[in-house]
Amino acid sequence: MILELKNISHKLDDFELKDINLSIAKGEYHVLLGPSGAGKSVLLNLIAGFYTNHIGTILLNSIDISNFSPQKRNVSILFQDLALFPHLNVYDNIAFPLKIKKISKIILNDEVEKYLEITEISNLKYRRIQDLSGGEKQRVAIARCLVSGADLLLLDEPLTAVDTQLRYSLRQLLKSIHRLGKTIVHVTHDLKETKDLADKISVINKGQIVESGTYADIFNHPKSVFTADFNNSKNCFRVDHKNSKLLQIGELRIDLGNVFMPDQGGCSVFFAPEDVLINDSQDYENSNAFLAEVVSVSKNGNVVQIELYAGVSIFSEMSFDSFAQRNINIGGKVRITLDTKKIKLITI
Amino acid sequence: MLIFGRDLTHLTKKTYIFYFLGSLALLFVIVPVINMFFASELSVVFSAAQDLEVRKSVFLTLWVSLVATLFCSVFAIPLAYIIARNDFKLKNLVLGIINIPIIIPHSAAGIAVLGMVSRDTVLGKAASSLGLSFIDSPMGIGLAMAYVSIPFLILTAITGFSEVPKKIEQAAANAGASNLQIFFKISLPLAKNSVLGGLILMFSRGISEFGAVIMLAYFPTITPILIYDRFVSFGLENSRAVAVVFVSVCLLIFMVFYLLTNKRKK
Repeated sequence: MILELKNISHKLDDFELKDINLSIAKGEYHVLLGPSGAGKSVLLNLIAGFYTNHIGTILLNSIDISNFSPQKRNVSILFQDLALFPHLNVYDNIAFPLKIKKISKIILNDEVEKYLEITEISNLKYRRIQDLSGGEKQRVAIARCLVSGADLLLLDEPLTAVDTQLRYSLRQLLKSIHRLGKTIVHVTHDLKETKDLADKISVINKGQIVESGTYADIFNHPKSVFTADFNNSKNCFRVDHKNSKLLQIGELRIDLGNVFMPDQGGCSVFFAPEDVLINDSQDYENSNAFLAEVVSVSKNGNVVQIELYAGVSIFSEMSFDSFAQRNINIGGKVRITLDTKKIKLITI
Repeated sequence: MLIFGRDLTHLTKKTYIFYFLGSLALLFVIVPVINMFFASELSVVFSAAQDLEVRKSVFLTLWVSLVATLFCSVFAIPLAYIIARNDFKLKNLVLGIINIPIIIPHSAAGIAVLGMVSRDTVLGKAASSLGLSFIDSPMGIGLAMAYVSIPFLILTAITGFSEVPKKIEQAAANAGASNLQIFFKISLPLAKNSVLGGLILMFSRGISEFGAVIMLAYFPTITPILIYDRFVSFGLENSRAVAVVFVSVCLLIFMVFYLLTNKRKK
C-alpha cells in the first residue's frame, strides 16, 4: 500500500470527516466520488497536510506522515483552481519545485522540457499564465505536479473547469500519466469520468466513505441507497413493507423467496440492469416473470440498454449479440424475468 | 447632449448634483496648490531654490524620510504579512494599535515619542552612551517621521498580502518551498505593487510631517518646519517660495515613481 488512512476524523466549522479508512495500492487510479460538499476536497487537503490537528493516522509508504508539514509529505496536489503562480511564466511555474530543491540548471531544464512534452505544451513555454486558456492552464498545473517527482498525485476535480471537448483530451493525458507508474487519487462528482479512469472507487458522502470497490462492484451491487441513487436511481426502489415475502413495486409483485427482509424499518431493493432478463427462454428457480413495455433502446459500445415500463421504469442491459437474438421492439411487450437470488436489499 | 465629447443625456438630475458636488471636492484639493504656484513671483522662487538653507533642508527631509521608511519596512512588512495571513483573537486590537499614530494629533504623537527618547530615559541614555542623541538630530527627525507614517506602510501591505490567494501559497508549500521561500518567491512578488505603494505612502507622509518632528528636532530644520519658520520670521511670500520649491521637488519625485512603476506593469 502506498497510502493508508486509518480512522481519520476532522472537524471543521460546519463540516466533519468521520472515521475515514482507505488503502490505496501503488500504481492504483483511485477515484473519490461524491456530491459537492461531501468532504472529498477536505480529505485531499488533509492528505496534503493543509489541515492540522486531525484524528487518525496517515501512512505514506508505511511512514506515518500525520504530523509532517506540507513541504515534507512528498505528495503532489492539483488544486481545483490550479493555484498557478501568476507572476511566473509557464516554464518558471513548472520549474518552481525543482528550483526550490536547488537542482543543477542542466537537469532542471531537461526535466522541465520532459514534462512540457508529456503534457503537450512545449509551444507555450514562455507564455504568461494570464494568456493561457483553461485547458492550457490545467496542463501547466499538471506538469508542475509531475515535476516534483512525488509518487502520489492528488487531483481535486481536475476536469470540472474545462469544457467537454477538452475534457476528453485531458482524460487521455491523465491516463498516460497513470501509465507512467504514478498513483493517483482523483476527486470528482462525475460518473463518466469515474467509469473511464478508475481502477477503484470510494464513494464519499457527508464526510464518510460509504463504500469502496471497482466500478462494477459499486454500481452493479451498491451497498447503500446513496450509491444506488448516485447511479441515476436505476432499478433502485424504496420498500416500506415489513416482514413480507412479497414485494410490490409498481405493478410488479415480486416473490422474494428466501431473501431476508429486515424486521425493523424500511429498506431499498436493487437489481442490477444485467440481471433483468428479457424474453429469456431459460427457467430459473424462484424467478419472477412479468410483462413490460419497451420504452427506449440505446446502444453504448457493445452494451445495449433497454428502458422498460411496468408501472415503474426498469432498466435492463445486455450485450449487442444477445439483444439481436431477442425480438425487442420499442412499444412492444416483452417478458422480463427477475431472479430472486439476484435481488439486493440495501439497508443503509 | 454632448459634454467634453461624451453623451451625458442619460444623466438624471440627481447625478448632475453628484457631478456638481464631486467637482467642488476636486477643486477644493487642487485650487490652493495651483494658486500657490501662480501667486508666487518667479524671481523669489528662484532665489529660494538657490538658498543654501532651503536646499539643505529639502535634502535632509528627503533622505531622512527615505532612510526611516526603508529601516521601518524591515519590521513593518513582516508584521503586515503575519496580520494578513493569520486569524487570531486580538487581531482587531492589533489593527487598532497600528492606527493609533493616524488618529492622535501629531504634536501629541511627537510629545509621546519625545517622552520615550529624551535624555533622561533608558533609550536616551543608551543613545548618548554611544555618542548619539534623538534630540535635535536626524535620528530624532527620522523617529518622529516613522512614528506617524508607519501605519500607512503596514495597512497598505496588509491589503496587498491579503489579496494573495492562500491556495497559491499552499501550492508553493506542496512544491516543497519553506515558509521563507514562499514569502520571498511568491507572496512578496505578488503583493509587490501594494508594498511599493505602502513604501511610497510612508515616505511621502514622512516628508510632510511637521507636528511630531518639531517636538523632537527644530534643528536641523526639515522643510515643513523651515516653511513655518520663514512664515513667522519673513511672512507669506518668502515662506510660499520655499513651499513652491518643496512641493515641486515632491511632485517631481512622485512623477518619476509613477512612471517607473507603470513602465514595469507594461
